[in-house]
Amino acid sequence: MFTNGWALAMGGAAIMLPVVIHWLTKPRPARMPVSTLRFIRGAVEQRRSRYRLRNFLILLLRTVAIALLAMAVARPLLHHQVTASTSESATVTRIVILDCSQSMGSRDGGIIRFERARPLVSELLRQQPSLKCNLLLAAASPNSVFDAPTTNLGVLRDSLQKASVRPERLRLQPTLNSAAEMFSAGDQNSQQEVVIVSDFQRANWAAADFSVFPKDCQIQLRSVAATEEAANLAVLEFTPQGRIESGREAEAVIRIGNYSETARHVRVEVQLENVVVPFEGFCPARAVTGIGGRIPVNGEGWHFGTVRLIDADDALPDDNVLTIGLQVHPQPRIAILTRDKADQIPSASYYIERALSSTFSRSTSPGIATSTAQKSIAQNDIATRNSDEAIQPGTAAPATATQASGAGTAAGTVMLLNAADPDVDLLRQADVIVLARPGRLSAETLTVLTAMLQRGRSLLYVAGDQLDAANLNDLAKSLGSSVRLPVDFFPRPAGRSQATRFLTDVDRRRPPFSIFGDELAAAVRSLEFSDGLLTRPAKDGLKDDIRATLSDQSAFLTVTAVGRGRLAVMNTDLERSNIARTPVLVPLLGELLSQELTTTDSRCPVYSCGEPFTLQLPVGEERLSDLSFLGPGNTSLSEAQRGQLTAIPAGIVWDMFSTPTAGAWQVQLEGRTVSGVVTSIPSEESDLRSIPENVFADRLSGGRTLTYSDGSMSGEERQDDVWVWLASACLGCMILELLTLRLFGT
Amino acid sequence: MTGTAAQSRFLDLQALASLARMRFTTKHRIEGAYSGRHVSRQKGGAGEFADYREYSPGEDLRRLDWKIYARTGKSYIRLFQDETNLLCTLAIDVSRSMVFGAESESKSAGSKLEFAQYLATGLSHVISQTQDHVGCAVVSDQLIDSLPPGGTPAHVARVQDMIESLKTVPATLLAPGLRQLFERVRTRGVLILFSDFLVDDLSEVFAVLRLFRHRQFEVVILHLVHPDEERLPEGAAFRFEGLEGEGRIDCSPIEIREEYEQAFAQHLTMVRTYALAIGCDYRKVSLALPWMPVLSSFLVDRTG
Repeated sequence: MFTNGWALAMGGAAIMLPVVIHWLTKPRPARMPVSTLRFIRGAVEQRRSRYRLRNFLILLLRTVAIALLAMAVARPLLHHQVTASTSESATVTRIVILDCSQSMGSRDGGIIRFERARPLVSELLRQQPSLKCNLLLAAASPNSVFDAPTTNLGVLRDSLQKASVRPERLRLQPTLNSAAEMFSAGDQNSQQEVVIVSDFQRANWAAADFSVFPKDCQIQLRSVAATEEAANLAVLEFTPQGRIESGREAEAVIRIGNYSETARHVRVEVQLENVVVPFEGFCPARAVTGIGGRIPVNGEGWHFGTVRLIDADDALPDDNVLTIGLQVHPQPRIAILTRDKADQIPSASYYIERALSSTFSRSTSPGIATSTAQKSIAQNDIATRNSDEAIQPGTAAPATATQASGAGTAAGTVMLLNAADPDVDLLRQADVIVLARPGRLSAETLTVLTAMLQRGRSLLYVAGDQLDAANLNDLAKSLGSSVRLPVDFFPRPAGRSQATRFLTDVDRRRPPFSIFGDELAAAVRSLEFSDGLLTRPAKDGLKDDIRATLSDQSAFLTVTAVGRGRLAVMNTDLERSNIARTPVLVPLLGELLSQELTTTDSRCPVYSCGEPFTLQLPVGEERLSDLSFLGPGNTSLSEAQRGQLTAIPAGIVWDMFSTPTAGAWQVQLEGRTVSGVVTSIPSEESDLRSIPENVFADRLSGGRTLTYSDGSMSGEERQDDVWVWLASACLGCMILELLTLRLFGT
Repeated sequence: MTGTAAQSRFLDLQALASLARMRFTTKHRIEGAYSGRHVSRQKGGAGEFADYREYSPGEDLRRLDWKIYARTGKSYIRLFQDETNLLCTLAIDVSRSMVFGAESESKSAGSKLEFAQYLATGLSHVISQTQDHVGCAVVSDQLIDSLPPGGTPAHVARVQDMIESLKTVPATLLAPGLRQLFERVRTRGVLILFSDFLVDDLSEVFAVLRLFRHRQFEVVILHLVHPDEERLPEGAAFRFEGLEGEGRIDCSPIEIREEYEQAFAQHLTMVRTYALAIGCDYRKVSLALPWMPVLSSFLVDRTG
């Protein structure tokens, strides 16, 4: 049996080559008269036998050299053993399962595992009387050549030759189930065999369940993995940190898996659009290490690129490259929905605006009205405050928090909107909406807020007024039954004394309180809260959503996922509490908005190759015909390739049933990418360790007859040696030819 | 210079001028018809005193040395060495192998035969200059033509005409022709044989030459060798064709070069050994040199 059988055919044809070359290069004799042929004839007779011997030896050596070379290229498998039944009398139903997952593309001893498996399977599919076979190509989903075992083994062998490694994980159990179903649907009286040719990766095979097969089924496991574990490095994941904004460097962590026994110093190259950034780090042996760094990003929208390991020199090169994608946002626009007067200082909206301005107005694009904008902009019906005037209470700004009317230019980083009658267009431009003393919200406003939450916007409700309890309840109702707030808010009963409350239970591990670190206790110790709402745990509410609790067991801060957005409720009256006058408010609000309320969309969804994905597109149904779909390599996807598109009230849902290759899948609207997905090789395929042989017999066989054949161990190494020896013999023949020529004085 | 010499195309004026100072001599005692400058086998009453010999009854009393008899009382007769002229026969081998080296089949320029013609014509001129007689024989597997030695200018001209008009014949034997020549020649003298000795009957050839030597001939062998015969030409492959109708052989010279050169050298050695064994004067003549220096060197060597 040979790994590359075609090389034998080519070698057979090439054996005639020396003869043909000899015939073609034979010189045409020139006529030369001589006095007598006596001496020439004598010399020729004396030499002819010598030169005939020389020519014979050279021709023989050349022919043997070509034959050896052809055999070396063909890579004979001399020590191959077929453990499956070769009986010609009994009817045998054999199902061969060939592992086509990504790990089969790794190299052991210079040979790809899959190429090592191919001749083994080919031998199993050899024509035999009374043999029915089927071939299952297993990866993320089983792919059988026929629905049932067949005697048409030629087609199976053809399918085997066309099969290749897929960048997918091995989902084993569906494959085993599929094989078991074939047995159950076939001839029950025949001898049933299932032969599995795989590298038996630990990650895939540890939970294999062979009990689906009949009790008398013979299970043959043929390993093509080498005895020695193949060292491998892999780029597993690229994780952008927080919200990535245009013009600022993005922080990212790259997870590198070192699946070897030695620590490695790795160099990684991140290419994002036109930017290439090198990363370096040290990866301990048999560990996954995160390497962090900053990547400059320019321009808003979706960016795709690659993370590539440099000079990895490992067993599986395919996992050294990872396609990445991220969405670069503009600076978040925050709308403060309030009924406070613009010149009311102090007020809840004033404190919130001042706190947020110090966090989010660091870089301001020209034409964007911010809290530091000039008074003329405020006068132009855009509700802003002059910061200088705010610091000086005696010189209040003349404008009030009235409805902003200049929609074309009113896209401030932090903007005040009148809660009584908000401009919906301006409201929809905001990434985060902060409600501070909004009064009683109208039904229309609630509807808009609900839709924005569903589509990925976030909302921070600073609840200090008694009307806020009604607003929150209305909002909860508007969100529907699928969303449950962790607590129910209700107003303080009238006439009840105003007790000062303190923070008693704080989730220090998660934002926003995690930013205080060890100083958290000192920071919250002095905080005193008056007024605010009372809360009680809601039925079916998640306690995990409560980030901080007050001394009367009311919730101080809750963060709840609502659709694609988030709803945070801060239960405090900023005017009556001292938190606004402590250094706590600015980092608290900044961290809450930057880490919890504005981070949802920066990371590109990542799916494993070969598996389906579903993506909700932020596009209305009316633009469905304008969408174009690109696959890996920016290849345009046809309607058949792009899967299914379904219109829903919140947008369009894209269902992709199969992703055969790794890369970026983009959805474009008028040439601009509006959404994207990245498919990658599953990380478990990078760990090339094989499961020990005894595990199959002891734990996984389920009492079935199971034979484990280590086809790649010493025998495989000998196979590798065979072609080396053949190549050496070929070289020896060439050297012998030269020596022969020299010996005969040619 | 004879009057007929200029008629041969093998003798130009420059050659005649060079040949004017050359002489053909022999150290052997020879027999000639006329008095000459060569030592005769005969010792008579004339000529130069050679020796004394005790008188035997019946001898001519005129040769008795009376002065010795008067002094000693013993009778001795005086011996005198005769000098006679040279009878030289130029035998030329005209087998087809002698045409080797010719420019083409129609032009013999550069061939061994032409070289032999130059040498023979020059020798005939040199010999005839000293009143010696020169003859010619064209030999192959038979005696094709011959002229007995003669000394007149007309005879020499005929000899040179014969030499000039030589044509090769397809033959691989030489001994029959020499044997016929031996049977035809009656007088003793000098036989100069021009041949390449590429014959099948080499032993017989020297057997006949031995007969010449028994008859007290001085036999001079001029062995003509072309430089291209001693080594094979450079090249990948040749179709060698024998000039004596031996067929053809295709082979690569590189394969047989060593053996060929050894065989040819062996052949040269064998001819020389045979020649010296029977007392012949052997000289290998290479066509690598012009004929005049070769002839000059040959004659000087013989003069000693």
